[in-house]
Amino acid sequence: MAYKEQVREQLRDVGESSSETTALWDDIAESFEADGAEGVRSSLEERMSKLREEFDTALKSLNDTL
Amino acid sequence: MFTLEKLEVAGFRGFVDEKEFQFGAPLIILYGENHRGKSSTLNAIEWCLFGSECLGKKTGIRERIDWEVANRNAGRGDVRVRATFSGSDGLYVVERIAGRGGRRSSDSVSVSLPKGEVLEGAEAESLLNTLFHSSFRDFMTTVYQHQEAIRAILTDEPKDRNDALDRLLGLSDYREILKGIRDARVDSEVRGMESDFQAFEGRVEQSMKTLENLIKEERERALAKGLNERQLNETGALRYANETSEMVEALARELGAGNFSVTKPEGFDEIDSFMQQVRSQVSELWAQSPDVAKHQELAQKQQRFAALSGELTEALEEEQRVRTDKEELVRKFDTAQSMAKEEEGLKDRLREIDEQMNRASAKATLTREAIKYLTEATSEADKGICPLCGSRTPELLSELEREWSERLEKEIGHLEEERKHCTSHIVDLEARLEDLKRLESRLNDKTRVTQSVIEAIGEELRRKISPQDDPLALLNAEATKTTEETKAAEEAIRTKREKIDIIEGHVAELGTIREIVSHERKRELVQRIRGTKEFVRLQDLRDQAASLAEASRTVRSCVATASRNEAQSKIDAAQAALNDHFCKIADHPAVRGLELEVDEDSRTGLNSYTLKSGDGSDPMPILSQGDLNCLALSLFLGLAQATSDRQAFGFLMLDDPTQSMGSLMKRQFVGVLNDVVSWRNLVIATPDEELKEMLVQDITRNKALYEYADWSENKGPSIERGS
Repeated sequence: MAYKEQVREQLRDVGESSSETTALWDDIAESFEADGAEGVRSSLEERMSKLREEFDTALKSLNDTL
Repeated sequence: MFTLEKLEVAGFRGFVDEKEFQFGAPLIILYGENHRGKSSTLNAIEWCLFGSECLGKKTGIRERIDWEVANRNAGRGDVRVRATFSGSDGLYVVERIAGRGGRRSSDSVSVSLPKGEVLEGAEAESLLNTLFHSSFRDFMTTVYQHQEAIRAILTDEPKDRNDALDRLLGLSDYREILKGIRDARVDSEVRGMESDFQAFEGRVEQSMKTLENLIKEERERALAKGLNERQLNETGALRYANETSEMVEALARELGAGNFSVTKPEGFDEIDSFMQQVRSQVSELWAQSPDVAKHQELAQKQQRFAALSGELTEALEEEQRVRTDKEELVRKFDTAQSMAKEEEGLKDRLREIDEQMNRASAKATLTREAIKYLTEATSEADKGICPLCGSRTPELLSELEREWSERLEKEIGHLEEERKHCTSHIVDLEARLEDLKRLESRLNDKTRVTQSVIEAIGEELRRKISPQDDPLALLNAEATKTTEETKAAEEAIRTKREKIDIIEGHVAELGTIREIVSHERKRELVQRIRGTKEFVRLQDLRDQAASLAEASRTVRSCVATASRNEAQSKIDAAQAALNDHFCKIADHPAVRGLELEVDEDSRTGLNSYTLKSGDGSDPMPILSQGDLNCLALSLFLGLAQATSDRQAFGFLMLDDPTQSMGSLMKRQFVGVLNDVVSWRNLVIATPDEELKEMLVQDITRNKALYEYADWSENKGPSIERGS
């Protein structure tokens, strides 16, 4: 069984069939197929960086209010 | 199961011209020195089956990162590899072609089926997957033992060895994914966001406390100033502003500024601009008031008087100082006329001295001439007789000459001394005269300055000041008069000033009310901040990041577990064969039996492998490089054997398998291969002549030998098929 299926099965075993975790795994696996470990890193960094950017904008606006 | 029958290669890696290999025998030996094209032959089979899958970083093989598929010297022809496989129903011919430079867009693949049908492109790729049901990763683990897999396991670093064992077991995908997840540092980023969020919460609390304190202090100050509670709100502030505005208008009327009006604030937010407007208008009214203008004019006049008085006093003092210096010089050395007269007398005396010296010089010349004449004209006998008294005087002429010289020297010495004295005195006199002239010039300058100040005073007082007038006294008298006028003007503006002070006090109190209300508004805003859209969004983003981190941790844990499970299952399957092969090949006296165990590295989550001897001890400290080589080969052969019943390929490929082995180990390894060749065909590439000889002599199945004799840029490898 390919590694993708092995991990998906593992996710099911630990009760993680939530769409967020499996979608994250699909995304990681796709990034890995395209660009290896570097692809996984940049894909996760990009997700986190989007959240961080929005977080910083909201935080700045709230800080300005104080 | 498919066996490899034939391979044709052109333009691939080390190949230039087309070469053909017959691979039908159970053992194929590719023998030759390094860099002759042996590995390229094995790689050609791999590329023919998997195409771009076996290229680049994703393969986990460092050498493949910048791998060039096309031979640089292969001219204009395409890269072409054709492999013929024998299956149960006949021959399958797989052909893969790439354009120069390995351009993927120009790659093509085709499969000819036993009945003559030919599939191309995606259909051909799909058929290859179905026929061989093997990924490149499986192929690398159970069919093709790469040189790098052996080299990596010979490392001293446990981390690198774990990496190599993962690769040998076909688990490097998991390992690379775990590395990518770890490098993204998602947890660290989430911790940063949580810390920023908590810091913001802290700021909200701090801000509330600060505002409470400010409001309390300001209210106390306002009440102490006489304001009451009813005034300390928005309505109170507006009422207070209206009162202030009426006071300003009343003052304007009093000061004669007819059309003067103040824009009253309509809401609390206009209070600030209202205060600025009042301050600026009051200041303007004040400046325009006639009493104030008169007061300012008098104050300026007093300033000018004080300045002129100071200037005159200073000018007079300067003038007097120079005058005193001049008088002192005259008192000491007389007047300029006397000094000039004395200088003239000294110059006359100098001329006389020069004349006396000239005369003495002429007399000396004459005397010297006379003595010379007498010396030459008188006989030797008469030279000692005085021509006047006839007495005998020895050396008369010499004595006369000496006597005259002494007298003359004395006379000239006196004159020269006197001349020197006169000259020095003249120089002193000239210096004093110069000093006197300079003082006179400075005195004139100072007098002019004094005069110009006096003229300025005259202009200020608007009268002519004669030499008989005392300008300072005149100035003081006028200043006294101005001071009295100033006092009168001050009295006149005092009542108006008091009104302005009251207005300014009102504006300051209005400012205090405004501060209190502003702080109360801000406190309300901060109190409500946790209910704002921005705050809810902030919480949501923090939670999303935490969820992503949680999901990422779960995925990471599942990847690690899947990797470990797969490792365990492969080890379990290959364990018996691994132990058997290792004992046979290495035949280590102290390592009887070998077990490979896998666990999780608690720090990295990666697989961590442990080797155990049959007696349970750790064999690593006593294993040589050759033993580790045996371990890698045993694991590969064990995995191949464990999967042999499911394997589509009926052959194994080993590339330079005996890198660190001694002769005995090689012979034992060949012994194992003789067993392996009974269930799998073998293709072995080696530069090791001893191994080649052992394979030729000890393998009991049919074999074919290809010798890579030479390699040239233009033709590629020169290969001969041995008997």
